[in-house]
Amino acid sequence: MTGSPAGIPMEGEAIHQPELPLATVNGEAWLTYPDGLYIPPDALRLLLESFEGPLDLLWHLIRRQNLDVLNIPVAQVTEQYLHYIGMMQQMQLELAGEYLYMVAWLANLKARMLIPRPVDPTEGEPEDARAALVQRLQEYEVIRRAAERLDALPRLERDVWQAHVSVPESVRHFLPEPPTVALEDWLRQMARLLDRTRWRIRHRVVKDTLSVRECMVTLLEHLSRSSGYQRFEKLLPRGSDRTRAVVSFLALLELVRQSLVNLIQATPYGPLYVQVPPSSVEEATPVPEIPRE
Amino acid sequence: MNELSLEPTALLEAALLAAGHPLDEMQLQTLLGGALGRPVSAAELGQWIEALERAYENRGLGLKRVAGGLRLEIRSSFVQALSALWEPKPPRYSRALLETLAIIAYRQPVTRGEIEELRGISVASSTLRILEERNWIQVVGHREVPGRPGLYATTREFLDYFGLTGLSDLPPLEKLADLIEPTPEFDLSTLSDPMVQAPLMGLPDPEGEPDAGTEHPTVG
Repeated sequence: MTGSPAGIPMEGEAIHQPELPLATVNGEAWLTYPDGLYIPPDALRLLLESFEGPLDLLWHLIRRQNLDVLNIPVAQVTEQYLHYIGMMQQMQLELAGEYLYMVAWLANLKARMLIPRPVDPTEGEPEDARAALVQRLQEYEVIRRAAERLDALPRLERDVWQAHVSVPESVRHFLPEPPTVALEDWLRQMARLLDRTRWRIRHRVVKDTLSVRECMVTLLEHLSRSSGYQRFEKLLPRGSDRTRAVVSFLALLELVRQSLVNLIQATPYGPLYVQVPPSSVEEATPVPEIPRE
Repeated sequence: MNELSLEPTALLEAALLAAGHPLDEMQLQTLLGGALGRPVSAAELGQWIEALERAYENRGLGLKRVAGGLRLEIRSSFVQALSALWEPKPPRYSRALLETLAIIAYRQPVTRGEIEELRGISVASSTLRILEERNWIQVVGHREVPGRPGLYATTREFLDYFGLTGLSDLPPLEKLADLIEPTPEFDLSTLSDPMVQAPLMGLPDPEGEPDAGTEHPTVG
């Protein structure tokens, strides 16, 4: 992690040519580069932020050295990569995890290339990690170039304008939307639909008119009248249909949940009794909480 | 107004100008057929379109075929010349957005994860939101893997905006082979030399760099 980007001397590096001052500032000759002058922080920030991710940076490094993408010297590239990341840290840039991941990946790749791996006959060809990297770089480059070409396409707003005469908004709704379907297609579909309806039985779902809350109140009133004690089966009003039975059951469950009634079973498999707790018998009919239906 | 005096080519032009958005041939057949009071065949419409195209040669206006149909547009060289009318401020799009859009356009349908895999960096939610707000991309389904990620695809509006008639009209992807300078065998030894002599980054020479050669030291 020594050296400097693009040969620009880093801070503190002296130039060994004392006879030629670098610059004259206010009559004073400068023989060395002043600290921190040659890498304007903002410029570096811009440079690093201009990369679209770790692949972009890696590709940049490879291109910059005129390297053959099929023959990336991994160690060298990794070192430069680390150098850039070091700069990012110096600049206290937010270091995205993707960049660190890429370094780890490169280091791993290098390590794997250095260490011979035992030949496992059960495995086929050993996976060539460098080939995988090359492929990722190439795929990214294809997309990068595709994006550039996409950007170069003549597009609305920037390159061409859609021509139109302005039709006032107020009359627009009178303009009929031309149907996009041919009439005969439409008729054919309609005929098929009609044909199908002959085989169709209609089911109708009617909204339940029974209210659980109403039923809760009825049950409580009923229980209070019969001295707060009643056999479960007798709670259901005479002549009730299936729906009412279900609603009554739901109402009872809700009453038990709210501890407004108790369920009692004296013997196993014996009859169930519903009882209003003694404290609430004396009170008037309690108004049950409205269950969320 | 005399209905019979409607000249089909002029009617076509008027329809495209009034619509303000591309009209496809089916719409034009219906619209023109209704106005002329008789059915209009595709062949007939084709002739009128050709006639209109001829009429627009050497004009500032041009007829353009896009995915949504036909539209009339001010040609690009005239758009530039007209910049004095008002200060045109076409939206500019970042590389991140264009690359994301390119991946969706060329690889659709793709998930966000696949886009990130290709770019090697996470996709900002704002990028996808802008693309969706512009109506250029949409979720067309979900991949049946854990999390059921949405599958993105481009829309007709995207094609219209970029003046394309369909996905096949996209600029062809460059082949991978075109990106790689073919390096003959004998060149490989000299390839690493310039870097060793003049490391551009000012890095110390990596001694005995084994990667510069051709050999992949994979055992097997």
